Amino acid sequence: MEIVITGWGLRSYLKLLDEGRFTEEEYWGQMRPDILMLYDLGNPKFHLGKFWSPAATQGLTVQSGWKMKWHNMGPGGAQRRLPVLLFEGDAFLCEAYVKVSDYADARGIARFSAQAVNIRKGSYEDCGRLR
Amino acid sequence: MTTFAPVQEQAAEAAVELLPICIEMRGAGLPSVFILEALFRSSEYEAIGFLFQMWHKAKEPKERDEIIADIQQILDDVTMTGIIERPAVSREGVRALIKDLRAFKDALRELVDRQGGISWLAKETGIPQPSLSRLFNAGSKPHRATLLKIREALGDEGTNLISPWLDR
Repeated sequence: MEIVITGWGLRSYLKLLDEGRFTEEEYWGQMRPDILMLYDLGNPKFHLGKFWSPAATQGLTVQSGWKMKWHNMGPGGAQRRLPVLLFEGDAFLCEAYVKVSDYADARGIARFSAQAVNIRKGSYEDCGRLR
Repeated sequence: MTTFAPVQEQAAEAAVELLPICIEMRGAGLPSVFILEALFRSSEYEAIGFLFQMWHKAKEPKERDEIIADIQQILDDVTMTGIIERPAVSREGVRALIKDLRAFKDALRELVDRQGGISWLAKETGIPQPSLSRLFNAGSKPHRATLLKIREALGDEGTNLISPWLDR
């Protein structure tokens, strides 16, 4: 199992960091260790719906797509979402977003749905591995 | 009469259902090229049809603009073929990249404004205005396909500024 950082994942990381949606400290101290847990999908945390749930919204479901979730983090108590595609034994980190509403969540899942199609086709930017 | 496979027929049916929204989009001033390309791709990308429906139901212009920018992003991604390997970015590299991106976007915006602004650029490139606004306002790295279109519209000055960012 590899944790693949896609171009969508990297771009969204830069965007959210630049917009102050989370700090570097929050990422390194809290989010990154959670993401690294993908190496051990048997971890009980993956049974918590508040942390890990299928990527689906209003009739649109991403096959083998999941959302990693962080609640009430940082200033303003942002709800952060990191879509992850589990495909051919690897975990692909896609475009993270802040869930400010159900509408924002639906758009985030829609973008993820298209990214999942591209990953399955073998068309994506590979920006390295998270280790 | 041509016979289609059930999957093709289903995809065609879904695309036809989007036609009234296409007409509504054209009435809202969106470029026909954008609408048709999105419709064409909707058979492969379920998300496009979903976003069309969201756009149709959205009441606020801001919401509609955001959805259009999402669709354009999907269309830009379609231009990618194969796995493109990028160098990994270190923690320090991320800080430098954010700083460089800001400087690049400021310079690009200045150049675009000198030529006629975002509405001019939208006409020249066929990229809907909301997508271009997102490009300048959001902190993310612009998509290669978008940069190529902008470079073509801006001519020589654009080439010097944009080319180093195409594969960064």
